[in-house]
Amino acid sequence: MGGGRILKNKIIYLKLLVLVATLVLPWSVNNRNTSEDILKLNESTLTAYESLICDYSITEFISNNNSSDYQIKFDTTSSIGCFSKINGTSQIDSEIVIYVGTNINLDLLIQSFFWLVLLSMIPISEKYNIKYKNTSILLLLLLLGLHLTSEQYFYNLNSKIFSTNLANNYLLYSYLLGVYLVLLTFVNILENRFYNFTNYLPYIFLVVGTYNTSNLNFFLLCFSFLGISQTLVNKRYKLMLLVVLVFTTFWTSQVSQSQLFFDVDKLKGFSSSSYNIYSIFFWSLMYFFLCCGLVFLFKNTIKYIQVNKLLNNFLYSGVLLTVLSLFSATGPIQNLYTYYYLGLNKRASSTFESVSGNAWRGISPSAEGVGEFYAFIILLVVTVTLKNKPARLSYLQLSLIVVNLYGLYRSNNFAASFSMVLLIIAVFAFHYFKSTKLKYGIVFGILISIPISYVIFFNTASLDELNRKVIKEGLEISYIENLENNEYGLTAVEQNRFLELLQNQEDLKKVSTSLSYLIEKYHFSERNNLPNVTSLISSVAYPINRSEKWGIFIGKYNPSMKTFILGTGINNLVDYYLHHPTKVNSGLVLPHSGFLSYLVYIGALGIFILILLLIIKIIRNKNHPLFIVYVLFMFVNILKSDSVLYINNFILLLFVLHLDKLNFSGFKNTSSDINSS
Amino acid sequence: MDVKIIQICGESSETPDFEKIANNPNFVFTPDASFDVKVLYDLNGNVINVNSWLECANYVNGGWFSEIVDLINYEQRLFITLSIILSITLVRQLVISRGWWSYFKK
Repeated sequence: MGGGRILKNKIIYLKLLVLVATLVLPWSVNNRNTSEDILKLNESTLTAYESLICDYSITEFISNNNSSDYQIKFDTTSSIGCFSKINGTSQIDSEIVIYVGTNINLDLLIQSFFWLVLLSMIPISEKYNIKYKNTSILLLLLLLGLHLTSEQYFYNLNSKIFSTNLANNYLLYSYLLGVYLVLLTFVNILENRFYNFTNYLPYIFLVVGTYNTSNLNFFLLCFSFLGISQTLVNKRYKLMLLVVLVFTTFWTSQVSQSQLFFDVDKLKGFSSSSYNIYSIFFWSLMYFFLCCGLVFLFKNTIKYIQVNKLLNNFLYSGVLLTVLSLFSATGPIQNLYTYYYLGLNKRASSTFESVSGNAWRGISPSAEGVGEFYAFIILLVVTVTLKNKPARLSYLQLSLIVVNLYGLYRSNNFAASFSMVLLIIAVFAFHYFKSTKLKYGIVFGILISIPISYVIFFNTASLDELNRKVIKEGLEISYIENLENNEYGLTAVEQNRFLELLQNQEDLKKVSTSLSYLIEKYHFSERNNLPNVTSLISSVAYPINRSEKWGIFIGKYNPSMKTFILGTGINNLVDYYLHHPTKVNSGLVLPHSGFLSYLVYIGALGIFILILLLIIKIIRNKNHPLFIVYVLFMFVNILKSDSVLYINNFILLLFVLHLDKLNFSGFKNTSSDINSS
Repeated sequence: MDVKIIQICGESSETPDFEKIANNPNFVFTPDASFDVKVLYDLNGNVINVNSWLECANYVNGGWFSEIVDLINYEQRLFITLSIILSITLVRQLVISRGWWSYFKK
């Protein structure tokens, strides 16, 4: 017994050593052979550095330039020979920027290796045999070939020699072989740890898994592979695949104008960078297989989840997220390392200062998304503790919660914090008050207090202004040029001259179909004491600070009746973003609502079906209040944030939808549980 | 003078004014019959023959190099390495799945 433990410890130390080696070696092995001194970087040696391209390795450079007076960026187009070397310098304003070479193939191998070693540290469980391994991998590789072809422009920006011509294209061959190897290793790890996997799910917020030079994500590849293998064995999944293929055929038939490139920015790895039939096909199928893989994993492992371990892992993940966010902001090297090895969608915040004086995102791509995660951790731990009598948290857990609260505070996600507090109060009321009247009274009071507090504290606009705020914001970004200003210089939009706009055919053509529909509804609706659809959307958007964002969405969203009902394809915002010309067609301005994003993806019918399924699920679980609490929390937050567009938040959402199968009553707080996790 | 220029183009008594060359779009490099033609490469895989020391120095100064760094070769080497690793993995998988390993152990 003791010998086994020693061996286990030795293996863990060995893996830690391998992780450290992966952190250091790739950036050191490509050193020069000469013993000449390396130039000290300053403004006078900048030109000298430009003539020393692909000469110094980053490690050599840092050893002689250990200040933080410069920024380090990746030159993602580098050849293998120039990987980890200084590939250029530039001066932007007064800041010096150093470019370090990275390569598409080496990134795939190094980053995947690091994450696979991390996954291998999950304790071994009973073995689960996955069928059709090699067939599934080969099918995934075919899909990847489609992806590389359809997003060629993205890959040309990330590799100088990238081409889809198959003759002697070793870059492509190596890439596909690399993925094959990565997936084979993943299968091996997964099979031996299958029943323990979900216990460690919270760490997906720490290790995001987005590749530096590919528009792909490690977890997307791994779980899609699992989804493919399950589709091959499960008739239900096969039937669902047929439905997805029917939808995909519709989406591809709607491509009237292909879009070559869209800068996915912080959505990298989980959103298409182009709009054509192949990209629609790839992302629709990958999304389906990802869902199949995750649903299969959760369904089969949820019974084996150790609640204590899961909760502690959530707490630790939040703490590590906060610590690494702070660490990333301490210097350019730290920032570079966290970006590369955690697979971040976007470089971490390089300062401790909040954006626009309010939200700080740390290593996460979105402050909103990470705020939801922190709030969910606290909600989960506190409500599960409240459910188990006597409710007790250890000092360590309390201190971990405090760190998570700090993360939530820095993310400045008011909606997440507010919904978390209300739901905790509701759970408390349900568990500690015996009177049914009192219980429901408190919940009803909470539900009533939300709209009343909005109107009292947050509504600063008049009722008329509230009703049209969203359409005014939408018109602000539309190219309306033919309507004259009045004698005081006020524009037609500022004067609410919507009827003139509807009568001016030239300007109406430049307004999106959704916006012109809402203007029409606003202007011609009957006075019957019921709010029209425009007023309803506008008055919901205003108090939650979404008038501008939703207004921009409506100004840009230009569907036909068919695409409104069925969408334009999953994980593809390109057509929505670039097809209809507006004043905000550059830079990533997201809809700031998961529902609106999914309206673009799957249309109104898709949203309707999802909501219907959700309601059925809630009704079926009406005796499982904690499940309803978590689902409510998720959906209230998705209404006003884009978090579901990030793979880790999406996986968390799918996990929450499976929490009805989890037995929370097994939760006990002992220090040994905490230490063991 | 830059060590790289000397390494690639050789010694010369000339003192090149790279800025002047860069600023003159009509500058023509005069071929030097005594200079052995050198082949230079850039990171994009472009190739150029230089016919004088000054031309060579100018290109080296701009980041070109003389080693035959065939970019495709790097990928080819990686491909071969990965193919070997993958073959070993697949053979190992086959041996384990068919139970051949236990047969050998006997």
